[in-house]
Amino acid sequence: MNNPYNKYPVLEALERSKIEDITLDAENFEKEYAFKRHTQPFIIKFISILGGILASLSFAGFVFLFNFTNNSNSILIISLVAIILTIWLNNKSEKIILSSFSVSCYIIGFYFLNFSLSSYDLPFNSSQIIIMGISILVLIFSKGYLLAFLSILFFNISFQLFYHHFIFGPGNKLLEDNIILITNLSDVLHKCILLLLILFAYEKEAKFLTYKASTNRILYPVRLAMVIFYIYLLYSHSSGLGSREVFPFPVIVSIIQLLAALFLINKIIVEHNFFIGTKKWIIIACLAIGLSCSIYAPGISGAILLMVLAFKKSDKTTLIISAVAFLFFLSKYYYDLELTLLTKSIMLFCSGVLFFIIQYLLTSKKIENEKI
Amino acid sequence: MKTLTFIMMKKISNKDFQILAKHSDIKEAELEELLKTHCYPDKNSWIKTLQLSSLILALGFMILGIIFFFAFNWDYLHKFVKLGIIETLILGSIGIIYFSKLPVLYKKLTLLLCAVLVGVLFAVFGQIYQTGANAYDFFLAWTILISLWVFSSSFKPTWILYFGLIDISIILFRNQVMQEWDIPSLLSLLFLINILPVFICIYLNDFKKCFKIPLYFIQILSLAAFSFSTFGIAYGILISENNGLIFLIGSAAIIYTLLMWYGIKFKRSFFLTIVPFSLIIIGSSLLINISEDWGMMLIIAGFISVSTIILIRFILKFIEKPHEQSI
Repeated sequence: MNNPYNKYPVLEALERSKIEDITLDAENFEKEYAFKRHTQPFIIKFISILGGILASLSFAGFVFLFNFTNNSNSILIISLVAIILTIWLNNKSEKIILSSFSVSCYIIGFYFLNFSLSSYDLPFNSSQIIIMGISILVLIFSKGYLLAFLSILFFNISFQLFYHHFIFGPGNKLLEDNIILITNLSDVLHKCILLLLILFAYEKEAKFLTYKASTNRILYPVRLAMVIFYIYLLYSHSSGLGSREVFPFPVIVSIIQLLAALFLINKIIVEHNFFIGTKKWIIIACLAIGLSCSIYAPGISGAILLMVLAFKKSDKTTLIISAVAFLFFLSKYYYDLELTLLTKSIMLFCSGVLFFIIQYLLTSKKIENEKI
Repeated sequence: MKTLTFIMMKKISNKDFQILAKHSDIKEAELEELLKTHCYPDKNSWIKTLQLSSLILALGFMILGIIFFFAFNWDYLHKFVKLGIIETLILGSIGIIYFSKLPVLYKKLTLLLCAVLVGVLFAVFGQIYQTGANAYDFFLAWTILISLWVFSSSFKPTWILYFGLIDISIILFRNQVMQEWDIPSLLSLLFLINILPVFICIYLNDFKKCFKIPLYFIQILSLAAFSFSTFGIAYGILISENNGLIFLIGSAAIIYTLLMWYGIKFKRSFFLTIVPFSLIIIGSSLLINISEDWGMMLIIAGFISVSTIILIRFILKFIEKPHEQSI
């Protein structure tokens, strides 16, 4: 049992810790480690993905032309076949070309399923509920990273389409009058649920990894898909001028994100013993005031929240994505601001000076604290 | 850079812990402890990250503020001031290159910045004086003026900028002046111009073995050249413009054969994949030319998938990498 411990840093760390009484399936561990670590040349991955995309595009063209010329309802059947093919191909092997084929099959199947079901005009938008159910099924039966990622993305997309085009039955006059209000409320609800799930998935990473083999397999792709959809939701409902029309919904989202950010920062401060006593509340108050300047642009506080969360749990992909999103939302906010360029330039310069002061405080005070 | 490496150094990735948790019966609290020690950032990393990010934000905001201030007053600036600002920047960067003691990499990046600033200078000049020149004049002048800098520096991103500018100048020249050139001729010219440096680099790298030209440069240039040739041949087949097509097909055939021979002899998987892939796309365009029915689309889908699988099998067998993942 000593041989594996020398080759892998994670096993070395395990040995150095005080954990006893642990059984390790060394053979499967080594197999999976070698499988995940070996890299094919980049060009082969690139060509197989490109080949998969081109083949699926021509297949999609075939389906369109066949349906168009023969006037049949074959699209529905073909989309169901495509989704079954996805699961079969995915379970057959983990080779990159078959997995890229299965991914393109899934995308085609999803798109055609949407297309064909929308033509049947089902009541209460139940076509979207069917698609949500199918995504969950694919998630359960999937084996790889990309399929789980896509199924959660499609689930969220179908959920959004569900409440955006909700058809009330006849006679529901009260609900029909307030349809914009209900759509906006459901949108805020969707964002809050996603935010809670993201926080839960990040904070309880160890719990998910050790609970079951299935949660272990799907944790990372599901988390990333939820983060990406959350950023998309922030983008689609945070136009600087348009948000004043749908007041107070962006403000609600901003306040919820602010509270979540403060809760997270409180946890970090407590965990690492950053400040003592009243200084903690001063910092939290300053942060609250600073973030509340962006109350009409929930994108900024959302992106900051995700950045802090991703850095705390060492998730580089999410960190980069949320950093890019932060820069984008910040630029959008300044672009949508209805002030002259002169005022904006003075504002920017002053914020820069403010950050310099913060940086100076951090460098001087922290070094003092460390030495103590 | 040093701070970043310090923050991310000596940390074990989450994926390793995922594999560990999957194949052992470790408990939640123990895994959390391990993650906290070896994966999540500790107090020092937090402090250094906060310092670095506040510095970046401070500098970014201040520079943006200055740029926006100039942008607001741009129309009211005298034209000498506008040109003077950019020329001062160029002279300042060249001064940095000559007189400072920065590492060579930063000096090369500064030279790249100078080359881009020359283009900005031309753009401002054109905006002020409204000479009504063609766009290709702008790109051509930019290319010629930075030639000396490009040839003297051996920094490959500058070379990539240079070749990009040459390609853009040729495309705009054809679009605005020589409209009698048909597209296959244009693309064959672009293909030859981009593949010639590739041959020179291959010769210097593998036959003469005197320079060590980085692979990414050769790959980017050949990707551009192959996109031009593939697009040209497909366009010629589908739209039946036959004037330059024969020349393009002839030159492409010779060059493809030479590069395949080179790939086989020296085991370069890049060329062994890109040449057949270009041929697959040309084959599909031939098939589309025959008919555009739904049956043909199905045949094309099958053709692309089967040929891609065969290609990947061929490459993997040829390269003989020591792993089991073969198809």
